[in-house]
Amino acid sequence: MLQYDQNTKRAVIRNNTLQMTLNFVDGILIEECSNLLTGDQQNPRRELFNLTFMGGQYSSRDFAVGEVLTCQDRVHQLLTVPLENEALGLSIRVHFLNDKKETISVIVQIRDRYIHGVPYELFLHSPFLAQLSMRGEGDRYYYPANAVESLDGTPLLKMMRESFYNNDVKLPLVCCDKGGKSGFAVQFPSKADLDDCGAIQNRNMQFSKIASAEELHTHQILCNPDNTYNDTFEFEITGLSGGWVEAFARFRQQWESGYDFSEYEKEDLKWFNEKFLHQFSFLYGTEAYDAENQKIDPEKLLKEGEAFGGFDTVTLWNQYPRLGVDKRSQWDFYNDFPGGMAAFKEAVDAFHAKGVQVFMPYIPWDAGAEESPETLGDHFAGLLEQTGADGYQLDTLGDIPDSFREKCDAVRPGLVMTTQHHPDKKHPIEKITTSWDEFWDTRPMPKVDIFRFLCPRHIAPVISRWYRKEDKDLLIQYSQFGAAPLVIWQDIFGRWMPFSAEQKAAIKGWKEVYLAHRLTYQCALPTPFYPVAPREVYCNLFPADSGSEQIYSLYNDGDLLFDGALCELFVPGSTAEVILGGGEASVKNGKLYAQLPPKEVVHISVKP
Amino acid sequence: MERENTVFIPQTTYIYRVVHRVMEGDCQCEHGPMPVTVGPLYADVYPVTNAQYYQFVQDSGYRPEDDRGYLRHWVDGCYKPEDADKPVVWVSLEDARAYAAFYGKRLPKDYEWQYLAAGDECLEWPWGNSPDYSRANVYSHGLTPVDAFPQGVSPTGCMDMCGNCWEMVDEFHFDGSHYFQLLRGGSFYRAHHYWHAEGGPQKNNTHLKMQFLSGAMSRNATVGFRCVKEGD
Repeated sequence: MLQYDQNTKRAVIRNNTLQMTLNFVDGILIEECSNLLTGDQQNPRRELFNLTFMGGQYSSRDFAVGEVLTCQDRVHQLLTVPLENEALGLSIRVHFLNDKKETISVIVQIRDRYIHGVPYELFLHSPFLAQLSMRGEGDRYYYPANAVESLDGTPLLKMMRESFYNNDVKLPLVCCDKGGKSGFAVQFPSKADLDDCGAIQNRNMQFSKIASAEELHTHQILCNPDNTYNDTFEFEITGLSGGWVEAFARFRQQWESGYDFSEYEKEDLKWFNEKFLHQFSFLYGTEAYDAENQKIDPEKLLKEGEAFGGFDTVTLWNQYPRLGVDKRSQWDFYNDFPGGMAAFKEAVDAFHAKGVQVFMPYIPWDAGAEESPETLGDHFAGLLEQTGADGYQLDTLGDIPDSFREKCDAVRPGLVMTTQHHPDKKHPIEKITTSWDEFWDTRPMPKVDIFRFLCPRHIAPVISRWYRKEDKDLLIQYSQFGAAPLVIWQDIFGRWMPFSAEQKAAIKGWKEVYLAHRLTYQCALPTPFYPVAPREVYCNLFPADSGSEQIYSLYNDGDLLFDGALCELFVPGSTAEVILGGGEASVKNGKLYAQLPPKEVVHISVKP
Repeated sequence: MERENTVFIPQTTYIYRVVHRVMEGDCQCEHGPMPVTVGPLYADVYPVTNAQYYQFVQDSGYRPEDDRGYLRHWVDGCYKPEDADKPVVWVSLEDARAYAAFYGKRLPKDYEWQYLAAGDECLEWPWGNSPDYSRANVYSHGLTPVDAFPQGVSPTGCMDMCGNCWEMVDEFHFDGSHYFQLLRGGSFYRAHHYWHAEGGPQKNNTHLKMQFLSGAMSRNATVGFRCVKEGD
């Protein structure tokens, strides 16, 4: 519903979750932005924005309000308010776009005519956003760049960002009442990949970087308007009845809507989902190579793997850091390896005889000047054909040309492609069905990888590199808490960094639990940081697609045993069983109760 | 090629300290600083050439048990004429040791090689303390004769210690899990990428850890050696 009264200059916009009442008598005043599901009014008398420009501070009241436009089509209702300040050379269009279902988008477009001939700094602050609240006191906030933090304030939801490169994983700002139910989600849509500050359309990126209450309250977004009405910023507001769980699910649904995941549905690639324990074999060491007999030693490697619960795949690594001493390429290194290419084929056959799949590495940075994506693809496809390997590991990459993939696909079906990093662009995410979750800071627990929950079909084993005993303990907990498989890497390019006997036993036990509940852990709709009552306890939720069980992955970050009510069940259940870790669990009146030892990951399976 | 074959190194003590390129994997051997005694010994002025190695093969009948990659650049059992005075490459540490032993010599230890290159003043480069790539075959397209850069002579009188080809030293390490060698001096060749082992000229006090595999992986197109002999 959109109603605009030209006489009173008031507008009401309503859909299934929200009601916004606006007043244009003097600038733009948001009289209310309310969650309709509560029946109350929220966010009364809010300014939409303030500007700092050429030494002055301005609100919408400093602009003349032009003729308000309203219109609608089958999908949307639109109300547009033009604002003009001749002296500043600024024209602004504020759009309220109602999808008639759940969301109202507030789109602000600023046009700067450069009255002094050059672009000046223009900073924007939104009091509406800064003051966004549900009930006021006790409201819980999930900030876009720091949805959940540890007891000492460290972000726990690991985003997919490196330096100024970016991607489309930008969480909303979520504000909900202390019960964690009613509230608002404000998404900042942006197609921008780069995190630089020179473009016009990247401003939403800056809102996505808000990580704390202080940043929310004091934000000043540098806008870069020019003489066109580009989108300067956009708030996509939705009323929530299910708090963070609903907000994350909505975000995932929205994110997924841009993707074609048919690659993940290919039957020939699904063997990878049934694997848990992967192994990285540095062939210059004795872990997987018999120097005396000059051959890869699958039997020895797999025997040692039994203490971990058995390796399901191995990645054979024979080039880096040797490459570069002379001109020999990665392809030459296969031929010059003791026994030549036949030695790899023999090893692959031996691994296959034990039911273990083999990955071969591709080293993109070793491409010579005479090579092209075409020749490299030919070379690598030939390697896969000659060795009989089952998949390939793309070193340092999160992407590969389609032609490379097509050449490999032509070798035989079932070749799984994995990358060292998560793919972070649309098409690579669609085509690369698994990657390593290689992360560098184990502390603090209980950190989780957002991609694991955003794209659960993309199974990403956790891998460590230089981790010592303490970090390896945390690595195992990280794998357990996020319910992700593991890559065992002990020979770090010539440096032996083994797991302890206790760690191997822990991994073995975790593997058994994971495989017994694999389909639940690999469910389509997991939730990171499912709300629980005690502040020191964190929870990830894995509800089986079949409805047969729901697993609560819990971590008690306190120093004492927790004993009490944890949370309302996501869906009704009657029995609770601890399937990993210690403690006890029960279900009473729709709530989950548990005893949780400190600093331990505990998985509880709740069944109908 | 007529030239003085060896220089005499009287017994001397210096503080040995070597660094290795910090990539991934580390280098599990002694790097000092510590006092070491070098000499007395006679050091080859030049790396061993193809012509010299050919003569060795003729004289000794040497043939490695595992000949994968052995003298890969030779044709029909002999070097190309234009390569006569270039350092012999595509030889393993075992091949080099066989050559040295046949002539009553050995390869220098890592700390000995460093002294041959740096002298009493512990120079950073054979010719001084500043890089001067006109004095060595570096960042080029191939090996050059071992006497092509006389201006690169070290304080001890040794030539071609920087660039041209890496030189093996008489050390073969096993850290409990890995076998590896140490290479010295750098080479003419530098692979293009950050993640490649670094080539080109290397300072006197650096070595490269080369992880070992047998056969053709134990031999390289850019790795040769020189010899020393115990002195009186």
